[in-house]
Amino acid sequence: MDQPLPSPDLSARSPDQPASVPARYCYDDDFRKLVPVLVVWETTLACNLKCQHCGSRAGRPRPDELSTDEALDLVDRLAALGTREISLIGGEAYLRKDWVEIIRRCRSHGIRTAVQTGARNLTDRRLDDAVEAGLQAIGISIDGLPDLHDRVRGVPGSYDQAISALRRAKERGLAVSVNTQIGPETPDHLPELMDRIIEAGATHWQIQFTVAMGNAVDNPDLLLQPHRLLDVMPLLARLYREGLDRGLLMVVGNNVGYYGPYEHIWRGLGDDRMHWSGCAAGQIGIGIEADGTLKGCPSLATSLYAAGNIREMSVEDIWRHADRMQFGRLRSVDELWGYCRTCYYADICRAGCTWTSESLLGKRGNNPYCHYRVLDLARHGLRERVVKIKDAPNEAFAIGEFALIQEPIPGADSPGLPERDPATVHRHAYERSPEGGVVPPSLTLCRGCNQYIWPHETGCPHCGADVAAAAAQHEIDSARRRALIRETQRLLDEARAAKQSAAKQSVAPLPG
Amino acid sequence: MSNAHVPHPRPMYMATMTEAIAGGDLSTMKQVAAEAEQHLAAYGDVSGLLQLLKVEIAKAEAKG
Repeated sequence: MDQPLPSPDLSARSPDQPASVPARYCYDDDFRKLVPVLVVWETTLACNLKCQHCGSRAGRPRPDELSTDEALDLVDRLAALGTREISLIGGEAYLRKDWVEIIRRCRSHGIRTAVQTGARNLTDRRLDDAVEAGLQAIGISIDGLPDLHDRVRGVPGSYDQAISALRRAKERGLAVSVNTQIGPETPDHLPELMDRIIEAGATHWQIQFTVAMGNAVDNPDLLLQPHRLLDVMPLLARLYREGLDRGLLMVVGNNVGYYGPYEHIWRGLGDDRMHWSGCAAGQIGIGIEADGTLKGCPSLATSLYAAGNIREMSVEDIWRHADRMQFGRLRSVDELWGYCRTCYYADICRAGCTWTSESLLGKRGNNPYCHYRVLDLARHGLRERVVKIKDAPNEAFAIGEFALIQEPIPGADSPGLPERDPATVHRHAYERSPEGGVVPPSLTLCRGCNQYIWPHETGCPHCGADVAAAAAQHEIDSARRRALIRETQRLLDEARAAKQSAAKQSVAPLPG
Repeated sequence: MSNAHVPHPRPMYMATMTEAIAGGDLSTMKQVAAEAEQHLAAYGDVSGLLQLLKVEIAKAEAKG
């Protein structure tokens, strides 16, 4: 803790990045220069909810949580490394007495600061204190309509408290969002839940699947079966579109995967140049446990990914050099297995969210929560489900093990998957920067079928289209749309100017 | 076109990126269309009123 602070390298941020771009949008140079853009910090494991799916088994504080001085020093060191956004989580972040001091220190460095909360007993006083310290945003976890939410969260009345906190945070000018975990009962709740959170003032809604970790291993009935993506993903796409028209932007979490028919719509929030490009743990993100343990992502299993503790090593050394932090920078397609090993997207997707796949199957590199995969299997009459075979230890971020069962879809013709040679999977030429970072590759969107393809493709492997011809037609269509937008905006601007001019004339004093 | 400045959005398990706004042509067209509809609503149905005016003008002129 007595080492000098490193100098911040602010050059990583794109020079043409406007102020309105989200702080957590990461650019190529962030990867090259190893900037820990995002930090998710479990400030305490103390919690006042009893969530049946809690991966960290939160409840009591850890016995050796960071002191205030240690926490504030940690903020300074993250700022020096270039961190742009910190989410305080728990447990429940506001059960730490110094949580407002932590917020204030984050804001003193210009770091965007948000809190993710279950919002039980998030009183007006707590909200006022946080706002006064500079808190900018709050995410409230709501997992369904009242009965389901209260049951999953383990406390009667917690839904009402969450909605109340949403309204009160909105009244205080905070940016307000909702995080919803999807389990088997959740999909039926989503349309009405969307109505309710819009009415309460939410502008953003993050969706993610419940992951087999901690308490969720004890309660495996809370896990969505992978084959249900067949009906859940179209529902999410419908709600994404409806939300756009109603002022609610759905943000799909990084375990809602991958490259299916909706990837170009939602991953980039309408900007179809953006797509899933692999787990970013330890590349542009850090997770912190309340005792100062660092991981590449807050949700990864402690037993496998604890890269070091800030009481024993500097943050910078753990970030740059610890083996367990570097795995994402070093891994290759060779570590994938099962379906993911022969997938068209293998060398960019890397089996999606590491937390999800490793927690579920005990080994990263194969992820059944993938829409592209589920659709491919369904075309061949197959589906996948998971069955628990091993409990998780009674520890925070502990994993058990589930068996992955592939079976014929009941009543369907099941020819089975064709043989696919792993040697034919495309390998991207990754380059490591002097700092040790690697930039994820970018795919091209086939304008014939709106599926992503590797840039070298001339014929779309999905639909067979001539990629260049489809792109040319798309450019023509796009130019026409943009001309229409410009002309409509010009007319509206003229109308607005005329209205303002008339209003000025009507209030001008009469001559003479 | 270079993608060097295309961001890689990273929604980890954390508070949602509330600064994000939807982009792309579809979103922009919907936004502009909504503005146009507001404009039309503010100014009423000018086209319909014009037709009524023309009918009344024609009727008045016919009466001499």
